[in-house]
Amino acid sequence: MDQFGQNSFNTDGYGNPANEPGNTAGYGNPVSEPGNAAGYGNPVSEPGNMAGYGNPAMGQGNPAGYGNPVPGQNPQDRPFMSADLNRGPRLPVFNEPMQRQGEVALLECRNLTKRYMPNRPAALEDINLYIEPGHIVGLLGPNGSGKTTLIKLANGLLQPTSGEILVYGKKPGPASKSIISYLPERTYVDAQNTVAKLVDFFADMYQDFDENRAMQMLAALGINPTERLKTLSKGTREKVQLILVMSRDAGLYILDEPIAGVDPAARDYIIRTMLNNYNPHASILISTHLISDIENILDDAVFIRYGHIFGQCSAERIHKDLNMSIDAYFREVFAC
Amino acid sequence: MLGKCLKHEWVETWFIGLACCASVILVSVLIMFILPTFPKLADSDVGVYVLPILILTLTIIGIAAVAGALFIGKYFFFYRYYKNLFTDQGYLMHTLPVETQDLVHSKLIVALIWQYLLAISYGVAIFFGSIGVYGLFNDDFTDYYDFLNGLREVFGFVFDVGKPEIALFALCMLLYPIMDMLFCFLAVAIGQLGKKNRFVLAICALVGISFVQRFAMNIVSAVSAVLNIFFGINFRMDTVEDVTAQYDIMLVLFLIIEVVAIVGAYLWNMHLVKNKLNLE
Repeated sequence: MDQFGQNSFNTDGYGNPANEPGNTAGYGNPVSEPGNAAGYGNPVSEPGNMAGYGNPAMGQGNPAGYGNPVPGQNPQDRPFMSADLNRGPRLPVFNEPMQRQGEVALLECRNLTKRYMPNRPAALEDINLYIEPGHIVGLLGPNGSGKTTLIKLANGLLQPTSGEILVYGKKPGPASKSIISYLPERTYVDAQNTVAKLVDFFADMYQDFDENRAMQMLAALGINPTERLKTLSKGTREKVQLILVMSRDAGLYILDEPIAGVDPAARDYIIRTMLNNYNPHASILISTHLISDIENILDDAVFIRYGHIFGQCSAERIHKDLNMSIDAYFREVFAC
Repeated sequence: MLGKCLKHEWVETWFIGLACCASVILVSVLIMFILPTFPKLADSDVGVYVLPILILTLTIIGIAAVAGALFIGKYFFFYRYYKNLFTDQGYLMHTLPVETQDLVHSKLIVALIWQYLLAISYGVAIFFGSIGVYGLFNDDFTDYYDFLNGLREVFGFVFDVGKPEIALFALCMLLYPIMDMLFCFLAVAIGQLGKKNRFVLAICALVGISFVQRFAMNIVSAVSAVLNIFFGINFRMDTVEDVTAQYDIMLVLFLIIEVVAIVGAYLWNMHLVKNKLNLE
């Protein structure tokens, strides 16, 4: 058990716990290990890695794939690998929870469990998660892994079955909702309203809403505030929603698939918008499948699968230690 | 934050409420002005052909206005409660920095304001309509005064039963829309628990709740008659006193049912919205 009262990784019971002998780092073979020169971790641009991300398991000098245990080593001593889940090639699964810096975390889950039906598998089980201020965190996982459930719990849209979720030390309620700026994955504003009316609504309901910033962003994207939302395209509606959400000086931005429905050109603008408009003391939790589009802005990544925190680490850890993108890492770790 | 919720709820609904009230009053005014022309029209050559069509048209318009306003006035708020809190819009409404009570209260208060205004509109419409009907044959409204006197003769006993009964009756009438609207909200909150066809489920729940409520009211009517016997009052209700006694018991029981229903529907609804929210 680690300092947070949970296994540092492997919360779903697979593989070695982090504190077992031989796995103090909690991740697999470093890139520089002998026999892995051409294995995973090659930058995309490197010669001999035409596949676009990471070499497949037949990488030269590493025929068994990335992260093979050293021959002769006790299998129990080797690091936890994604292959321990019998899925995909072998890659280290990092599990380095964010270190608590202040008295109160921005978002904190303590043994959080959510079960929709009593006799069905839990959507989330025994989740322990900390998000400190000043981080942009990617909440990543395959479909049905529990990302949206976690986000709903943070927003008070669902009640935990057990455990608790805290925002600045408070349970979800009006106080926490005034801190969180939430963008769901669907159109959540009345399409009959004009954009200007929505801006007025947000300005009235949220004290931290900056109306001028919203109008500037609308102008930058060429969105007419007098138009009704129903007359706008789906992508433009999503832009409007994102503008409304990012025009707040919130403590925590929770964005569920913020760029899924917009064109690639607009994605760049949206990502710049996220970076330029959020309070440096705030954090952004982004759930998305379009990892490659956002990974450059991520400070940390939390991987979730089958309702468990499957791994978490800084983005730098994946980039530097594996020399691969988070997108490539995700594709390999969660390969079907 | 209740004030802000109320403001936005009002802004989003006033046009429907106003349209319902205005349509009822406008139709009654129309009737008031058109009906007195009927005698002259009947004397004309074309009257034989035009008058039946005109009467039929006015009747249809009148019924459509009255029934439409009643239906829309209730089901608009029923549907709005569903759409605003339990569909995609719920993702916004339930993440506003307000208490769940504020959301529900604002919707309930605005819906009730329009229910009461609609009831007043019906009263105004009856007044205008009756002027039209009884101003048909002469201009000095002699017939209208006769109509009012007739009303007093028929319903005069209401004014004779005493102030407590009138107060009880008024209280029952005031509480009924609250109960009715809370039943709508509860039905929606029950319907949203389903996986699919939530609005259909909500309508089914409303039909079920309404059935139980009406069944309870009918039982109370029967029980009050039985209780009358135990109070030693003539069951045949030959006198005003007999009627009053029966009336008292019935009103008190209705009132108890309404209060219990209001409290129960409110608490159950709040529990479902707070703890069993099931957004798609």
